[in-house]
Amino acid sequence: MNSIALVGQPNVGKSVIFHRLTGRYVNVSNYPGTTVEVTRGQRRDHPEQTILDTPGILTLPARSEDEQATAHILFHEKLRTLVQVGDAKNLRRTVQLALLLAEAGVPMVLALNMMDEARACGMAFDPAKLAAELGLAVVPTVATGNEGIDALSRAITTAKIPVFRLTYANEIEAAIDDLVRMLPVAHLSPRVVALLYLAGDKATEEWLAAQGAQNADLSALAARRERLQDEFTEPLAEILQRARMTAAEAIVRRVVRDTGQIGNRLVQRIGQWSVHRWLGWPMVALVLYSVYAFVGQFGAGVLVGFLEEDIFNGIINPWFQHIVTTWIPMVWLQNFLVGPYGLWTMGMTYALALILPIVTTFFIAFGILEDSGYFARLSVLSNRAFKVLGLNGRAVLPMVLGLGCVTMATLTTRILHTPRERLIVTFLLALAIPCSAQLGVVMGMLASYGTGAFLIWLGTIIIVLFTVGWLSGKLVKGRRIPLMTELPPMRLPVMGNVAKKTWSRLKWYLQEVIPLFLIGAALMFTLDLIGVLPWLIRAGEPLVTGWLGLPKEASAAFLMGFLRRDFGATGLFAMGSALSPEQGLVGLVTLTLFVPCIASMLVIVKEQGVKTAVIMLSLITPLAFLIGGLLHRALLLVGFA
Amino acid sequence: MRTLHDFAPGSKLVVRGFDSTLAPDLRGHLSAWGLTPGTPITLLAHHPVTRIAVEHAELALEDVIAYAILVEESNQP
Repeated sequence: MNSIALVGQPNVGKSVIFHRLTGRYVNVSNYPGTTVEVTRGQRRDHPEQTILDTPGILTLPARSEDEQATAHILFHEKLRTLVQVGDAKNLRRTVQLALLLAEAGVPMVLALNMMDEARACGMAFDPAKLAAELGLAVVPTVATGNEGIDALSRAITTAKIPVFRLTYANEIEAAIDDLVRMLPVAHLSPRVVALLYLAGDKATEEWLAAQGAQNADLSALAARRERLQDEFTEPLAEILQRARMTAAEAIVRRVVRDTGQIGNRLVQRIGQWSVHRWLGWPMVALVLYSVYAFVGQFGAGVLVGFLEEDIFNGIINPWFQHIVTTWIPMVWLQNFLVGPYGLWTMGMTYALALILPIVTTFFIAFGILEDSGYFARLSVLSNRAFKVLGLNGRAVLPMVLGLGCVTMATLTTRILHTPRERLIVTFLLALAIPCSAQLGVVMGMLASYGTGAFLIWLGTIIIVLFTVGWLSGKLVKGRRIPLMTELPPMRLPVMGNVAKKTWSRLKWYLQEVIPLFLIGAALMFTLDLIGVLPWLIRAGEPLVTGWLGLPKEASAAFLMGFLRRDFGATGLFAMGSALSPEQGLVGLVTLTLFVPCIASMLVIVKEQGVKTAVIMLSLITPLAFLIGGLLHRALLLVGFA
Repeated sequence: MRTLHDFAPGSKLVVRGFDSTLAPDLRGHLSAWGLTPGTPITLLAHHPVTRIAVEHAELALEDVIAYAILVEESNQP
């Protein structure tokens, strides 16, 4: 009984509070759905207690898989304290959820977060008054500024079970009384279990089914719920929700002294422009160009040039080669370390001199955009395009996050509402969305070929994305869900958070990618040593040279691409002037569409099952080569050199 | 009853109900966001999709949903 759960609506700052209470950093962003799984951490001042950061829930019953994870926690974890994190500026909604959670029979605290934004919106209210209305401790916080965290921690320690009860309509109360007598014992109060069951909550039903027939008479429960439903024309979930909204509205009216309208600050105006029917598009172009200039030209051009040529090839590698050849007599070992496929000359040089500067600049640009709230706002502009794929604009979020890391983005597909949407988006992510490291290398290479090459690459990927997406939309059964989403407010990115996020991603990159690059280099070295590499290169010749029109050495890059697409792309990058712009472009398009990395394959297996993952893989690889070859012929036809 | 379609951006409105054509799951979702009868909202834009403000939260809704939300003008300032 030492768990403390942080629950609340999406995008209210649960993960920031988690970080403050545990010292453990988890990714935080300005869009709903950053947390799709429950994260655990030890409480800083009471290490014997575990804090749980949960995915956001709008209300209960849960409506998507990430929301169900939170409902699941409530049933399966015996909680010491429940901390609802709420958005102070959206008080009705916050109070509405509190009205349900306060009856759960668990000690509870309400952290009223983003008080700074509420004040900026012209809201003034007394948290003590709200605490009296709800019968629980209410602590105002500004988690990003560390305000109110000590008070919150004290309140968590002394939290009590709220003395609060919302009275629903008579018929509902009668049904709750009946259900309470029929329900098995839970960690939660029988009243809240009854309320969740009446609303049709999936986690509650699953928990009941797991209790066994002797503890829960499921058919009697269902019959009682049906009898109540018969008394209303609207679904019970809606009736219960409306009762809570009405009560919340009344409480807010009593508590808030003054409400202003959304302010008119510049950042908010930029937020409005970003979703404007005309102004939105030049903004997309500006953002894309800025990222391209920062990552492609500055990161991959200036920084890589300096690190690779001046530092690695100019100083470190000759010095290291000298040491190795002087001190190590075995030629094969010399080659293993500093040869063409050497651990240092290939593995470490690729990872540190070529990719590190590129991903660093990319992570900075990505973190700024993520924190500003811009990504989620793209769902408005992109909705029409996603309609063609049988999806809606919400799908833009996992797609854009895929540009950071396809593996993480595959998990984020849980924010989508139907299995159909998740399947299509997962497939498109695996096929056509390059991750940060790969995108960085691609941008770096294309920057040296000129903007025309970049546009051809982008155009080809977009055409493939939409053609394949359109076909998938037709083939995967199920109806399309129209767009409805919440747009997070535009905010000025907090540089500290961007820096922290960049660092945590870089740490991940260094830990995950460097070992893989070293394994890759060792593998290439071994294959070369035992004569398999030359054989494979010859075997790949008809495809690589004949069909794609690339020099036969490029086969090695595709082989590396099986390990990680970015490793393969770096292989092409390292070939430098051995590739003409046309060949570089064809190679990059093929590798962009090539098999996803091992980590993302594993997540696809976890989320979609082995069968689906195998089908995806067997579609993606031939498709990548098919498109590459077609592009090669098209480029020859138009005379692109 | 009029829908969001019938008002100009900037209008202050109150939700009165939902058209019967709206699928129950979509309707349930709107209610989870707090869009229940009696909720005051502000219409922000019709294009590229309908956007409304509920309290200080901004929602984007495709036309098929937006035009199934029954509203009337708010008499509060």
